[in-house]
Formats: sequence, structure tokens, C-alpha cells
Amino acid sequence: MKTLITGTVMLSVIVIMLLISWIDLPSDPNAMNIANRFAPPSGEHWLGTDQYGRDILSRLLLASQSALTVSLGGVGSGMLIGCILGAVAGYMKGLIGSVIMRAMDVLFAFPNLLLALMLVTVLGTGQVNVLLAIAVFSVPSFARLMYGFVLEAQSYGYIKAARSYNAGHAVILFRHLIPAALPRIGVQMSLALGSGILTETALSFLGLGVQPPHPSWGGMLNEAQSFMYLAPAYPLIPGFVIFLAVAGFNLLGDGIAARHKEAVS
Amino acid sequence: MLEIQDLSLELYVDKTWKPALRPLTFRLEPGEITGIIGESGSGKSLLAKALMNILPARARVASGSIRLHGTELLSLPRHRFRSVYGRQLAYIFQNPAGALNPLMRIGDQLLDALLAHEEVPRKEAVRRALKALEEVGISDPERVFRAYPHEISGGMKQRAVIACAVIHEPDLLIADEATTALDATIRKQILDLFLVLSKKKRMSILYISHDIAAVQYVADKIMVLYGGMLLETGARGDVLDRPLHPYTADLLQAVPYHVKPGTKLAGIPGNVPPITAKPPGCIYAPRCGYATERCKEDLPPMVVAEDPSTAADKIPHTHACFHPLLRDSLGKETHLNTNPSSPEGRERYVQQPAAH
Amino acid sequence: MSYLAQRLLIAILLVFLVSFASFAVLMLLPGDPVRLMLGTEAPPHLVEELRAQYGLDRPWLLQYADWLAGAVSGNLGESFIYKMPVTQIIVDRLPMTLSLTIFASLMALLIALPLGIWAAVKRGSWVDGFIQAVVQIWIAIPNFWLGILLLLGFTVMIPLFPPGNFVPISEGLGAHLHSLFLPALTLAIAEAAVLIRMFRASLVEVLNKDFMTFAHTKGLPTRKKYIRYALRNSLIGPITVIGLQVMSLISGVIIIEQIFNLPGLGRLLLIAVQQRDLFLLQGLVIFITVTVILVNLCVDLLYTRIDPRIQLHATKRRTT
Repeated sequence: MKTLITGTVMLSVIVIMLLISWIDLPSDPNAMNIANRFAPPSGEHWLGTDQYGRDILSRLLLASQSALTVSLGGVGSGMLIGCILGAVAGYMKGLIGSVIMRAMDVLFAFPNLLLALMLVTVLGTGQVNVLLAIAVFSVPSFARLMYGFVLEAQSYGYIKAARSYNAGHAVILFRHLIPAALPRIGVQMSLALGSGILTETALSFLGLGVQPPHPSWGGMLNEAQSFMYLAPAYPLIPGFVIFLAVAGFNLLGDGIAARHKEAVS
Repeated sequence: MLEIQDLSLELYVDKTWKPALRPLTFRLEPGEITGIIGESGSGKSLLAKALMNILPARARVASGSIRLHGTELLSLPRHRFRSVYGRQLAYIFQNPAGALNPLMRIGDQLLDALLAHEEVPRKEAVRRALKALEEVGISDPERVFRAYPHEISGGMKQRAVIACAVIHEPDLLIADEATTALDATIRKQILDLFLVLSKKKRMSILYISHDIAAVQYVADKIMVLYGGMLLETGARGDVLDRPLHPYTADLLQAVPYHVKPGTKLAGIPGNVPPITAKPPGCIYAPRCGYATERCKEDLPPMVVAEDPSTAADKIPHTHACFHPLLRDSLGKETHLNTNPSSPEGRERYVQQPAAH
Repeated sequence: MSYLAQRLLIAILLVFLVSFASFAVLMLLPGDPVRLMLGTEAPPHLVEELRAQYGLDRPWLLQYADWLAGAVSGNLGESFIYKMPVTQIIVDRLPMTLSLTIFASLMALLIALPLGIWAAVKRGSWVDGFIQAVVQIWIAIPNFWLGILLLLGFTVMIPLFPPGNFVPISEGLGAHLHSLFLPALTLAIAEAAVLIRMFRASLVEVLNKDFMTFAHTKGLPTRKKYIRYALRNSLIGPITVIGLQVMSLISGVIIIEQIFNLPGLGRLLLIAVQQRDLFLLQGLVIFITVTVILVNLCVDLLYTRIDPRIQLHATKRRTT
């Protein structure tokens, strides 16, 4: 319960950032003012300014858009594809099933970041491609989850009952299996969003995600590292925001899992 | 040898400690097998774990005393138990597969048990371990000694576990559902092994089971536990053939073995109460056909029955019931004051005489 | 033996498949590496010449066949940017990365094993609750942030590890480890969080087993009970996921080498990605794939050694 609350609180900070960025930014995130570089926090710039004198807060707020949309889009599409593949594999069994699941094994056995790097190399840098990379490596975990669930569910009484009155495959899949799997998918989704944010920020940290001058959390952290001897406080800010988002999703996932476990037992 | 005086236990449920086992008193003697009968949830396993000082974290001793050869075990510091385990007290489990470390050979686990209390040169230790395996009825001790647990059968595993437990010839062996998971033929062999251990080595055995037939086969003395309360104790013949407590009688009616062929098994209406349910009166009253208002209000004390057969085997036949069952000369069950307001009780009395 | 042969065959097949897939993907790149190398102003005949030199003018399946023939004999092609054999570049940079990962793994174990065991032995107590809560937060700290924080903390505020270049092992083990300490610590801290969780969970499971109670009631000394009965059983679970840990270590190395400016395989990979050095990237992908597969193979063999229930000839797949 504590986990769930902490996670929710952390995420609400991030969501509020996103909402503010949609409504109105405190100042122009790309307005440079070299004379005012690395300014300490003030009434005008709440979190100070960066190496070009740009407002850090505005850049952070704007960057929340790409971080959240890219990871949500990536994990969401990965979830859809993964769940369908897993359900099909579990439902069909036989050759199709094992081919799908072996392919998932291979994909799963590949380091996340390496996979993302390869895709970004092929497709070029930019948000859409990072989204695709996140989608690709999210697929196997959802496929495995759904596959395991379908195999397990086939022994359940109500699935057998549905079969016995000749319910169609689609009916069983969409009316019985998928709704029953939702809590687990939710947990996995939350955890995957945590690693999605990590990947998005890692790629933009390496200069392969959102391209400057458009702000990104990872990009800001990278710039902050170059100037950390001049402005030691700057790296703390984007890093903490990333941490908040990742921890928020992780704790939310753990919290839902714990609650669901409690409800079941 | 082991004296249990007013021992009561509590369980941690819903964030408070609730009474689980009502104070009970009994003693265990060398060379004697004591059977505890009870349904699941009666507290029999909890009692066994309390005697071994291995209660789970959610259970604790509330009061009473457990004295082994006059030494109070409840005030013995935890580290002192190491010298008690194996030499004086030993414990075996329901599931022999779970009691053995899957990654160690049987022989090494047996040697660990042996060397826990004795400094023996390796060669001598191996010889004694092999002998111990032979004594529990393993015909090829060398093979079992070298085997991993998964390589031998369930009956073999339980024998190996028993060998580990009795290698120092403990005064008391507690067998908690030790034969329940075994096949009928293997079960009999293990029960025979218990008889040998108790009669030849003068070991005291506390045999806990819900399998009444098995208890009847080995036990000299029987204790009937229900909902955390001791309802009846006595010699095997007294308790099983001439039960005094209605619960014991009802329980026996529910066992195919004890009922005349063709008779319908009775069963007991209602459910076993949770062990933490502590009504003011008799725990069995809600399901008992003979229960009166008094049974629901007052707790019946444990009393020694004036049963003429008691004198013969010197084990007192005791019960905790206001309305114990009596028998006429034909061995038929009668009752002192069957509750006239309970038609069910009368009906049962008429239709289902005890079978022998 | 047949089991080992079977596993090796599958491993080889897997390497082949991955190499084919990654080659195909890289060849279908939109950008032209030769153009990238020479610049868009380069005269067309020079471009054609270079294409021919690297064999890029032929169908990509043929190129793959050539590459494969070379790879089997250890020749992974030539890097565009370094103008050197890829194998040579990888071999040159391997020792640094190997040092870093081994150092980091040892440190991670050193942190995680005692804390995991402590939490498990004291399960349910405040110590356990505290360790678990800390780990839950700790696991979410991005390693690139952690690296920067450590760099900031130990080079600027407390200058224990002055920023400097990497010292190879040939110039003395002490100086070598000193130069690798901060990056290894960053990797280790991130890794340890996962390990603590794992050790705790698997040890708690074992401590609740009947055989632990039985070992206790046999009167075994505490040390023997924990080491011979609990610890060995509790290591089986973590060992099976070493493969996954190695992968997350590889992902970590890519970033950490960048932050700490270390000339290892991770940096090399990033350079290959940024410069679109096809053969170098392909070579690195294959190298990493082979590493991961070999680690998993070793883990399986180790697993059969530790757990007598798993037979070498068993063909049944372990569910992961």
C-alpha cells in the first residue's frame, strides 16, 4: 500500500509537469541569453539557466512531452503486439506457437540498449525511431506473459466451460482471457514504462534520441555533464526528474502487483 | 519423561494474539506410542511444533510448562536446544521429500546428523550411518547412502529421514503426519518400524495423524484434539472401542473402517471451527447432537471416567464432556441424558448403533 | 556429452541466425557509408572505387557469404573509420572492458551478498523492511545519472579519484584498478540492487523449507545449517539468471564508458553507431551475441553441476 501511494505521488509530479507544458511554459525554452548563463535559481528562472542562458524549468517541462509520449507509445505498441503474439502462440500451440516463442527468446536474450542502438543506427535518430526501438524490446516480455497466462487459463474451469458450449475462439480470447489477464498486463506495463523512460533518456543522453535544440531529459543531463565543473548543481535536476519517473512507474507496478496478490489470496 | 502441564498456545491473527490451544496436560512415557487424532485445523501440528520449540513466527506459547526429565524446556535458551535436538527430541515431517536437502547425498545428511553430537572418525561414522540405514529397513544401505534424495522412492526417503532422526536414539520421536503421504503398503512398514523403535529401543513416540486406522495400529494411548481443545484421552482400546466423548464417537462413525459394511457413513454436520474460535462452552457443542444449554455456556472440565475397563490397563480414560456416552452390556451406545429437545440426537442414537 | 553437443549446435545456429539478421538489417541502411566517409562532394569515380574496394557494389547476400566465410576463420572484415581489421580492434579494446565488468561484478557481489543474506535471515524485521525499501528506490536510479553524481562527488567535492585517463593493467594492477574504481562502482551499485532482491527472495524461500527445519532439529551447528543447507540451495535461482545480468551489464558498459571516457568496447560500439561503420558494428554485435550465448551455456553447465536433479542428457527445456 505504501509502495502504491509513493509511486502514485511520484508519477503525479511527472503528470503535472506534462499538463503544465501543454498549457503554458513559464518562458521560452529555446530563448538564449549568453550573458545570463548558469544563473542560479531566481524569481524569473525558478531552476536557474543552462549553458546558453536558457530557462531550465521550461526545458524540463517541455522535455516531459517527448519522454512520456515516446515511452508510452513504444511500450503501448509493444504491449499490443506482444500480447497478440503471446496469445496466438499459447492458443495455437504447435509449430506456430513454438516459432513465435523461440523468436521471443532470441529477442529477449539481446541486451536492450544494444537492440535500441542497432535500430537507431538503421532508422536514424529521432523520436519516432526511439519509440520503435522501445516497442521492439517491449514485445517479448508481454508475449511471454500472455503466453504463460493462456496456457495457465486453459486449465481454468470457466474456459473449459466456454469451450464446452462451443464458444468461438475469438469470444474465448477477447471475452474471457484478455480481461482476466488485465491486472498482470497492467503490472508489466507499469514496469515496462519504467524501462521505457530509462531507454528514452539513455538514448537521448547518448545523442541518439530527440535532437537539439529541442530539449530532452537525457540530452540535458549530457549537457550538464560537460559543464559539471562549472555548474555542479545542474546535473542534479534532470537526473532527479528521470529518477522520479522511473521510480514512479516501478513502484506503481510493484504496488499493483502486491495488491493484486493480496486480492487473489 | 516428558511432562506437559497446562500448555496453551496463541496465534497471531488480524494483528492480535488469539488463544488457539486451550490449556492441556499430559505426559509421555518411554516405550509408549501416543497417538493424537484430530482433523486438520485441530491444532495437533501446532502442539507438536511447540514441543519441539519450532513454532512458526505467528504462534507462541501463552502459558504452561514442558518438562523433559524434569528440565523446563520453555525457559531453555535457544542455543541450548542444539544439544537437546537429535539426542532427546527428534521430529519427522509429513513430506519426506521436503525434509531432505535436494543437493546433498543421503549419506552426507545422515553423517551431518551423526556428527552434530559426536566426534567420530570418518570411517566409523560411515559404518554407523550404514547400520542406521539398515536398521530402518533399507535393504541396500550402500546405494541409498550414495544416492541423492530424488533418486530414491518416497518410502525410502521417509526411512532415510527416520534414520537421521533416530541415529542418536532420542527419548522422544515426534512424527507429524509422517505416513500420510505414503502408499498403504509402505505406510504399514513404516508403522511397524515405529513399533520396533518404541518397543525395542524404549523410545517414546508421539504419532500425530488424522488417519484413525494408522493411529489404531500403532498407538498405545490416544488423545483426541478438536478445535484446539483436548476432548478425550485414554488407552487405545478405551478411546476407539468405547468412546466417551460424542465427538470421538461421531469421528469414528465417519471412518469407513469402523462402520459395519452396508451402513451409511454418518459424517458430522457443520464445519470444523477455526482454531481461534473460543466459545464460552464446549467447542463441539454447535455440532453435537447431545448438546444442552449448559454445554454452550460452561466449559466442560477434563474428568476421569468411571469406566470399569480403565483399571485393567492403568491408563486413565478421561474426557471433557458433561454428557459422556455410556454403553449397555451389548456394547451398544446409550446416553445418560440425551437431550429430549434434540430430535436429531435421538434419531442418530436409534438408527446408527456403534459397529463392532 | 550428447547434451553438450546438442547445446553447442543450437548455440552455433543461433549465432548464425543473429549474424544474418543483423547483417540484413544493417545492409538495408538508408545512408551510404562510403558517401559518409568521403563527404557528399567526393568525385563519383572515387566513390565507385571505394565501393569496389569494400565489395559494397555486389548484392548483399553475396557480401554476407563473404563476410561469413571470413568470420568463420576469425576475420570480421575491415572497419571503414579505423582502416583496420575489426577483430584486431575488438581484441585491442577487450581487456579494458573485461577488467571493468569483472571488477564491477565482484564489487556488486560484495555489496549484494551480505545485504541480501542479512535481509533474508532477518526477514520480517525492520532491517529487512529497510533494506527492501532502499532497494526499491535504488533500483530506479539511472546508471548514467549515478555515474555523473559519483564523478561529481569523488573528483570535485572529495577528490579521491582525480579525473584522469584510463591506466592499462600493464602499468600496474593498483593504478589500473584505481582508474577503474568509479566506473566499476557505478555499474556495481546498479547491479547490486537487482542482486540483493534476488538473493533475499531465493534465500527466504529456502529458509522456509522443511529441510531447513529438519536440519535445525537434527541439532546442526548454525554455520553448517546456513552454509551447507541454505546457501547452496539459494544460489540455484540467481545462477539461472546470470545470463540476464550479463546483458544488463553490457547495456551499462555502453553508457558508463561514455561517461567516464574509457576506451573500451562500449565506446567503440557508440562510435560505430555514430559513424555508421557497418563492419565494425556487425563485428561487435556478433561478439556480444557470442558472449551472451557462451555465458548462458556455461550457466547451464554450472547449473547441472550444482543441482544433481538436473541431468546432463536431459533435453527438457528449463522454463526461464
